[in-house]
Amino acid sequence: MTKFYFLTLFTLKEIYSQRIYQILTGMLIVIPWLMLIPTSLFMLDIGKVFIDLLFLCLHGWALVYIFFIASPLLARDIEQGSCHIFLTLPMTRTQYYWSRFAGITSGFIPLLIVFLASSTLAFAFAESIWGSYIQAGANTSFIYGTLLILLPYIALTAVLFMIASSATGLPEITVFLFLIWLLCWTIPPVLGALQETEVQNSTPDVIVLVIKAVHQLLPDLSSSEISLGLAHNYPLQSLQVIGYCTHHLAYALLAMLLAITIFKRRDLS
Amino acid sequence: MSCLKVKNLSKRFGKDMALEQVSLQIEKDEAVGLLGANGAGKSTLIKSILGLIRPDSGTINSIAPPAYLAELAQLPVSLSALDLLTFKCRSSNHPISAVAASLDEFHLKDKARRRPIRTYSKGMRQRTALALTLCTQPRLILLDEPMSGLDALGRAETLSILKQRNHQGAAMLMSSHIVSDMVQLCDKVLIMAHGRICEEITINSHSLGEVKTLEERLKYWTELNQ
Repeated sequence: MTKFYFLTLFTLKEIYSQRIYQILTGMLIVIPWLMLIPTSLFMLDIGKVFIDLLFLCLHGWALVYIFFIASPLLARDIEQGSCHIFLTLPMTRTQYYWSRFAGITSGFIPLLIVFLASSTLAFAFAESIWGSYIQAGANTSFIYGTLLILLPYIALTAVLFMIASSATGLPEITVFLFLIWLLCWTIPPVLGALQETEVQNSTPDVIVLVIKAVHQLLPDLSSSEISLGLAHNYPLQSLQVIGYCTHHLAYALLAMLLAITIFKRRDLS
Repeated sequence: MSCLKVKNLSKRFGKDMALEQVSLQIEKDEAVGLLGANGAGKSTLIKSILGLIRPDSGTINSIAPPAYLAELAQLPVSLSALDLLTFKCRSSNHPISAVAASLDEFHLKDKARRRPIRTYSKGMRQRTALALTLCTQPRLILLDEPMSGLDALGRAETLSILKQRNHQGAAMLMSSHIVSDMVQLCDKVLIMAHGRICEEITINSHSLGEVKTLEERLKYWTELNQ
């Protein structure tokens, strides 16, 4: 437990000390304010537009964090053998992987705090300008939505660990993670199109089956129903939220268990 | 008393036999060298002992978890030497006072030890890696090409520290290409070729003559196995 705790802290320290992380944190202070500019171009539903743009930013920075901070950290451990420092403490591979995962996931927290704080201030400013054009409780919906939208990125971080458990270096990790990210975003619209009878009839059953199977295997990054509901200030069903959270957390847990099983079997030469 | 006992260790990478029925034993206070050409199996043997590589067969027994220094160790460059050693001592339940003592021993001055490792020279990085390996006073030390990247002065310093640790009771297994370093530090040298230990040579006088003998034996076994 001591080793788990110290390696988690060490990972956080490693992440904080990276310049790209510091730049990203700085940018998150400015970005919500910049989003007021495109929001001001709209006449109606200003609150909804602002929330939509902030959710878009959220997807963006979460992705930057995973691709440019988490991936290189994990790739360096495996590619250049930095993980030998930790594994020869000694520490089991399971402990090492969970500690790294906990550290990397905790790296989201300061970014989240900065983003939420800056966005809340930007919301207050927007309300002072546009007043009645912003729905009451929009800021609360936004905070709630931010926390929910971030959950699939924890699942994507677990997918990153799964890829890294058998990859040889950063290029491999980046390519496979990018492919998975791309599939996560492209499959839901395809499935939506398959609901139409005309498309259904012209698509072979095998392809439909494959698409559905791949969709089941991947984390749902779009969180479309949740984002849409929150942006429009619709009340969310508590069962829907519980199901959503359980799905993503269980996905992350299973992906990590699989990652550890693969990682334990590999040679770290 | 045996610090490390390896028996019939074998490892195959695809068609290549990286280690073939390797057995060795290291006693307390003993420094053993692994000498061999590139691809002889030295690093595979060390990594198998550490558990980084999973051997196909064989047994490994050690009295204590071994400390390890890798060839051109890649340290987390965004942190400082102080951060690294503090982490190691804390997570190994070792007194934190050992951090400063170890950094002093390796001449990492007060300002330098707080700077990120990316600002260090190659020699400083290697000294940091050595300090990291030795700060917890390990009883068994595995060194894979510890002199890589060090200048003559750095090599002499490192050798002297390793000798001192050996005299204090630490057992060592060191792989190297540099025969003279082996002769200065080790009590015996195992010559490896094609995943096998071909010959065991005891170092008696740590003299230039023994350097020549080792070089000749290494050449003989390498050519024989080609």
